[in-house]
Amino acid sequence: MCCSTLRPLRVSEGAYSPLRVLSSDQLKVLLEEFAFRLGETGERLQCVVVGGAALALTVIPDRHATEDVDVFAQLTPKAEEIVAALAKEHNLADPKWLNSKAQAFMSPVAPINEQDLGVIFEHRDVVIRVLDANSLFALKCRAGRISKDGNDLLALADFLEITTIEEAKLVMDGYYAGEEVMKPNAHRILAEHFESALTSDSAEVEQDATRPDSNQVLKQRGSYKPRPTDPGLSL
Amino acid sequence: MFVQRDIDGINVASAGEVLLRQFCQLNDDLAALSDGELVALGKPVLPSDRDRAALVGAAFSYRYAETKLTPPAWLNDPGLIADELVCLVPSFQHLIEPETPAVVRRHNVLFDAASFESV
Repeated sequence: MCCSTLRPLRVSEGAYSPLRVLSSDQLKVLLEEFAFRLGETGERLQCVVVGGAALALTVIPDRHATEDVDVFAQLTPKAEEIVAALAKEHNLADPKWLNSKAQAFMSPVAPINEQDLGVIFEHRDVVIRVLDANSLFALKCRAGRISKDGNDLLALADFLEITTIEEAKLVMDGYYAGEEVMKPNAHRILAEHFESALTSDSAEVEQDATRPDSNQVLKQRGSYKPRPTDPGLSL
Repeated sequence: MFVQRDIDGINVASAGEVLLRQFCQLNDDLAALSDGELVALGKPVLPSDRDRAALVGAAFSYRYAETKLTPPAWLNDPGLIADELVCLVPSFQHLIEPETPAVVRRHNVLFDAASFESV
């Protein structure tokens, strides 16, 4: 996924849209251009994308993210200038669409080893990485937001092949070293999901007695497949 | 800062995930305002669709409740109450409903309090 050779600048075209939501493709274009332009100035930057943008770039490619892209990084004035220029060219409302406001929610006890994270873009001395799925899962468990994070939690649990609350707590403890607990709402969402997966798997096994290895069914849960878009308002 | 654009976005967002994220962006931007800035916004230009206008009403009502400011009269407009219950993530409706603040529910909108927060 790493792109060491970058394309030249592409500026958004098309009709004005007031939407402040980015698809994973739009995110890639913006981050790629940011890395390219900053790299060309000769500045150094190590940057980790977190939050919804990180999910859209990795585990859930059909997910959209808010225009507010959170990163763990100290953005230099030159970097902020490029972020603002990209906002103007791509019709983003916020000249600080790439920001480090979420930095405060980094685990204080388990500092991220950036070298272990996947690189999505790099150009010269600018490297953009994405937070790993385990850490994203821990952050979502701590937040415990149903509407905002519910489907993300399920997707991450499936991706990480987490099938019990105990396993989920282990992942959280690995990130927060026991300093934070899972929010009750995150617990409820995951408990229901694990229970329904188990029930559904058991029913499948009973229906198909010819299946040679019943464990195979459980193993299939490991690979996340995007769910059909929740219809929400049918307007 | 970008509240009116967020509302315009809600007006055109496709139903489902895009609308959910656009609604989250509105909540984030409202949360970033000082009390004075929130009051100075006044009544925004609302979506023509009643359900989407109800979402905007819910976002403003929640933010006013959080700030302890007296909500403006325009938030009492019956046009800001959805005809039928609106839940942006129907698969979690049973979990969201008990966690929805009363000021949000009165717009016939379901959205848990924690999800109004940015991080």
